[in-house]
Amino acid sequence: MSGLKDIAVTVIGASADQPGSDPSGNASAILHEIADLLERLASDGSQGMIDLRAMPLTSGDRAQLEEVLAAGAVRVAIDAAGPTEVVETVYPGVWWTRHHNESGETVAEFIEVTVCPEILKSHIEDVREGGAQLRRVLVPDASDANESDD
Amino acid sequence: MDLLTFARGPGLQWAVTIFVIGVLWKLVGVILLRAKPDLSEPRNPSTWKGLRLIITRSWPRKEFLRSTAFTEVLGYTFHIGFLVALLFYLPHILFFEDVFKGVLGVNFQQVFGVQWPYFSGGVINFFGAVTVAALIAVLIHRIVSPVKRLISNFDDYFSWFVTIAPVVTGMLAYGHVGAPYQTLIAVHLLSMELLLVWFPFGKLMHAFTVFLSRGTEGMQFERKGASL
Amino acid sequence: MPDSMKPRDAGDAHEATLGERLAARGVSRRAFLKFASALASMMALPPSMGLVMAQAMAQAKRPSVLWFPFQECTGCTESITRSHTPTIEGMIFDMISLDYHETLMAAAGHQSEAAREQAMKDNAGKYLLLVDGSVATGLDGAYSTIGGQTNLSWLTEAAKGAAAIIAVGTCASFGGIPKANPNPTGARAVSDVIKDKPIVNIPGCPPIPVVLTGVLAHFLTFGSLPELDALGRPKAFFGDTIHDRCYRRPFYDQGLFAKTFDDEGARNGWCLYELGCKGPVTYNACATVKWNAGTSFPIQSGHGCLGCSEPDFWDKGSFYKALPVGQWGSAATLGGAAAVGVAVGAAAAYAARRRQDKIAKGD
Repeated sequence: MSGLKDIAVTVIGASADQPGSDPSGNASAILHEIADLLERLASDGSQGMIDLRAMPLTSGDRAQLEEVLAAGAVRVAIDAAGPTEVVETVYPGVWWTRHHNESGETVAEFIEVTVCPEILKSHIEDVREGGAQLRRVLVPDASDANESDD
Repeated sequence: MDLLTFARGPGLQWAVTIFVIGVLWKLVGVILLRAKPDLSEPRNPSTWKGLRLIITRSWPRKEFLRSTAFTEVLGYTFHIGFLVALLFYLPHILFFEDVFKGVLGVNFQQVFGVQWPYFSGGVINFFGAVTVAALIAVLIHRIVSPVKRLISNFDDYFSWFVTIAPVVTGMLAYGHVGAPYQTLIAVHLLSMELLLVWFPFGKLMHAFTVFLSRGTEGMQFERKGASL
Repeated sequence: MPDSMKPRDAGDAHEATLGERLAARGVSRRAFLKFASALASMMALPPSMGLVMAQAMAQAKRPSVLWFPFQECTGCTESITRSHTPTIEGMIFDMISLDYHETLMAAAGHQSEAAREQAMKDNAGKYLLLVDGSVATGLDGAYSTIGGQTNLSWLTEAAKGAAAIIAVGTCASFGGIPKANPNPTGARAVSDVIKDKPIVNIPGCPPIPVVLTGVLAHFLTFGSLPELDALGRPKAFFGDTIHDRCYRRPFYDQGLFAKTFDDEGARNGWCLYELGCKGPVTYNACATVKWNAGTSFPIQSGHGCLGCSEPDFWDKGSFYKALPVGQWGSAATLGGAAAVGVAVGAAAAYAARRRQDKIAKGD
């Protein structure tokens, strides 16, 4: 493999090294939109969501976003079909959600303006099923019967 | 067959064929015409010196400078703009180099030792915009000026149209404005093909004949001893 | 429901919603919401649609899907199954009841044909028909048969009861390689044969798996097919050219091009336009979705786009000739044209001289 290093190949593929690292202005637009969404959340509780993959961001834009929206008090790691990272930024109510698949690739990235992102909440159906499962665990006979059914 | 396939294939081939036939037909037809014998004694022995008219007619004489300045400046502007966009845009160059190689069997680069220089798309777009602006200005002038309007016919307006059309469609294609790129590029190619087909049979043929006529006229004037 | 494709835990799945079914398989609603959000993002839907899609799909019954292979190479199936394990679009197989797929089903021979007929009967008017491969129409379709029946008759028969047809891959969408000149089998696209059913084309050789997932998710969520372009392709994935979304586009705009595959420009990752890249006239999502779990796509790997998701891509000239090149004709044609031009010109001049002579003679 060391021979590969002798070949003078410059890789300009990885997104971080892409041409155009200057801020394009998209980051500022997103930040202004977040400020608007925050005001609406505070006044009438309406939630907002921004898809970060829906617009082209240069590495400069990303740096600007990450600088302004620095991590705040809450950082949650979710393991559901690959890792998901939910971070509340220093601005309460502004959450940065990064969905990854099982091979670590980012599949979706959102800024959510809400008191609590949907993905953090336990779904009522899951709660119901979990409760039933717990009941089965607590009754040893039923649990055994269940096992033997399989 | 979709529009682009037609424009890139049969449309282009027919247009180029008609262009070549038409240009040679017109040129050979004119050159082989019998010149009217001039029986007078030549005033100047070296009539070939009149060929300098080919160059000197490229700018107006002092007396006409003021009255023709508008047409001259704008004329030069769109001619230069058009030629720059035509000859120094990479996709166009790839086409010309391909034709060059197809006809002569050698690469352009091998013959001339240098690569055909080109500008980036943005620069070409600028030249295109200048060309369009100048062409619109000369059209307005043609319509507004009573003399020009009087001496203009369908040929003038249609030649104007087939000249501006490839520039406008090319810029639209470059900017992806108004339609899918494939449609835009197909329309651009078709407009260029219209230009090629019309070229030999309308006033656009001046691109070849202007030098012929200037040279002929210059030699006749020289022989008569006229001041050039 | 035919038993041939039935997964082990699908005992009562016939009535179960997709959400219940996924839960039974250990996929939490949280994972499903994530899947729907990612899908909405890829389909350029408003981000709030992720939740809507998750809720709607969780309540949906899995549609019966029949997958017919015609004149194809199984590359489309490879593409979609290879995406299965590590990526989120692998959930496609949980979203549908795949009642017939020759390559994937355990049953074979008459058993599998019985499964197909049963599924068509049970789900008449509701099933989705997926087709990969082109339809041979020459000799009444005899060039391609399965179990003694022509693809053509399969398609026309199954189309009658289908809610919609999804043409998977370039062959089913546009005829593809079997239709390439001289097209000995009379290959046609599905849309050339079936005119009275909604058809979605997902071209690509092979197609991008997530596009199929997206179309299915849209169908489950809204009960309709997504917005299509003039060629029947979902706009969410085929709205832009490869060139528009190419990370090498700035080099094109700056006029920086690779001239060969191993020159300085190629090493610097400059634009491959001169090397025959068909990106400017190819609509697909490769530049954004990419391949092999987002690893790369042809241009990122240093090779121009072949334009495989466009009609007749195989017959549009060399893959390695730049777009403006190779179509103007030949030197012989131009030579012939020049000869004709000179001859006509000479004849015209001769005619003019004859006329002058006549006038001079006073005729």
